[in-house]
Amino acid sequence: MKLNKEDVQKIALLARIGVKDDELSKYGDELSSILEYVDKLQEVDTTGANPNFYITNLQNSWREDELIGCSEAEHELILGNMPDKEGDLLKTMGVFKK
Amino acid sequence: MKLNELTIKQAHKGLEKKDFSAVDLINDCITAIEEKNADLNAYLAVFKERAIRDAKSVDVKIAQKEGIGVLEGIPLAIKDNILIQDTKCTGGSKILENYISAYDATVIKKLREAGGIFLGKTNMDEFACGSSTENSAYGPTKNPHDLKKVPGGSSGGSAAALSADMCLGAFGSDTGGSVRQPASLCGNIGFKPSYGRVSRYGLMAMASSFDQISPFAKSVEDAEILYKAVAGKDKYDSTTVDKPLGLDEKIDLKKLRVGLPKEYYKGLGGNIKDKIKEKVNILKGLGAEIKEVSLPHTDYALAVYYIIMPSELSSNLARFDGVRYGYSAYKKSSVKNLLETYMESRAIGFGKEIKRRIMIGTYALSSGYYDAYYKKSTAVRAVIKQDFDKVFNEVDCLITPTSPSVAWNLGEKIDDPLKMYLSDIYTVSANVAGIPAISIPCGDIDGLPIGLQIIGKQFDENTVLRTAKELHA
Repeated sequence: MKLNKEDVQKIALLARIGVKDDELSKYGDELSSILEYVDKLQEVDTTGANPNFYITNLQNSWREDELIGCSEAEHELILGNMPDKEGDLLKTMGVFKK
Repeated sequence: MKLNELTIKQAHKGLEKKDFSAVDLINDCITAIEEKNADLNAYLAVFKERAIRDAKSVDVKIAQKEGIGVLEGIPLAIKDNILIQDTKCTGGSKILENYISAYDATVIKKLREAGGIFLGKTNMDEFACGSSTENSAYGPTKNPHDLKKVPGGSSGGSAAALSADMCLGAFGSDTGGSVRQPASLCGNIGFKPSYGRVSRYGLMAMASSFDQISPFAKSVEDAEILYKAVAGKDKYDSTTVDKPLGLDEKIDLKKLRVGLPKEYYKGLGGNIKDKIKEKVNILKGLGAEIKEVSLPHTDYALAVYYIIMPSELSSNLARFDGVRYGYSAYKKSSVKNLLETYMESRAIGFGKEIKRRIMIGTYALSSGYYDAYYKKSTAVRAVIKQDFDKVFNEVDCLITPTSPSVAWNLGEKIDDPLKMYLSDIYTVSANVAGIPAISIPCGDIDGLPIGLQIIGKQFDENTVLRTAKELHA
């Protein structure tokens, strides 16, 4: 599978990564060579094999849905990592236009 | 002998006998860091004052004749993707350049309770994506055996810090070989337990179905000490298992069946093959049965890994959106809406390899390609697991090389992602199948260490560790 510039542009948008026009063909070549390598999986006969998403066969692990909260120190550290805030509220670009 | 050159076991005995103090031990490590870190770039941050303060309290305990645990006062290095509360944690990425951990990872909490002392945070490929530590946003780490060579990766900083005696033990994360491969290239021991043995809470998620926090050590005994300190069920990681570690059972070497999977030896350089044979002969001499076995789908493990890993990675790294924490481009005048905040923050914050992998993962999970890539690779993963299940009916453990080559030159593979990926070819299978594996030193080629890997049955860390002890005296 050879990816062209338009393919890369589409994937980059899905991945929410800004890619400059002059980088598109280099990414296209690199991604294509990786895809060419992994294409060998199509050779494997997987009839009857159940997809394995997790290797330990664990069953669902349940716990009470309870509020644990956090310490004052943790609270401050979390707020301190926010790029911008107003009081204790996170500030960012609006989702909806006026 | 300088104190920083001791093993954990030796240092513990010395502390107990008051041959030296915990502060002496820390100081010798700090001296080594001050002498060598500028060249090696193994540590990204060093907690000098904190470490000395912690060591002093261990010394008080010893002076008051209280017994101390085996890790008390032991200086440890921690990979910079494991959270230590109120310290910077970058994950080797520019996007987290100023990020401060809000809490302790479960392994950190356990090590802290055991009295271990954190010397600092070590360099790594960005978000653990790489095999040489050259993908770090903070410059590459160098191999202590030869400064022109890579230390392996992604936990190259921890491996180099231990090899250069800048700590007594270290932790990394092993997703496709990121502890075993740098241990092999730097000449120390790297031990990846079965998936589910060690809590991933507080480890920056890379590929959640493969990630496993793993120790680096100078002896197999030390690796076991570090593993025991962090293993066990954790309520904060629902994928951890509640199973006894089972490390007390002796094994009878005369009944040990060792498999040499032929697929791991074809195309392998003669020097590495010969060195491994020498070690295998030691086990043979002790009465173990050695036989050639086959894992027919070995060739496909790397391809499975390079689909599932980027798929999980692309999903895990979606949290870096320039909104809640990490680098944000939202105040730039060119950024006009939320979509542009995402696109620009990630364009600036992530390095090239991360972008490549996120895009591969996004593609493999996207509508129209999901079945052919992601779903197919999960089915092949099941087939690979079956290969191991079958082979472990015939043998108790497998011996293979850890890495197809010794340490290579800095820059040699950095422009060819696929070539770099192939350096994980012998290590990824253990992650794909979730089974334990250790890399131990096995001689050298022109001064560059070779690694031998022992792979065991799921949850049978005991056989892996005990076999390794026989081969690493």
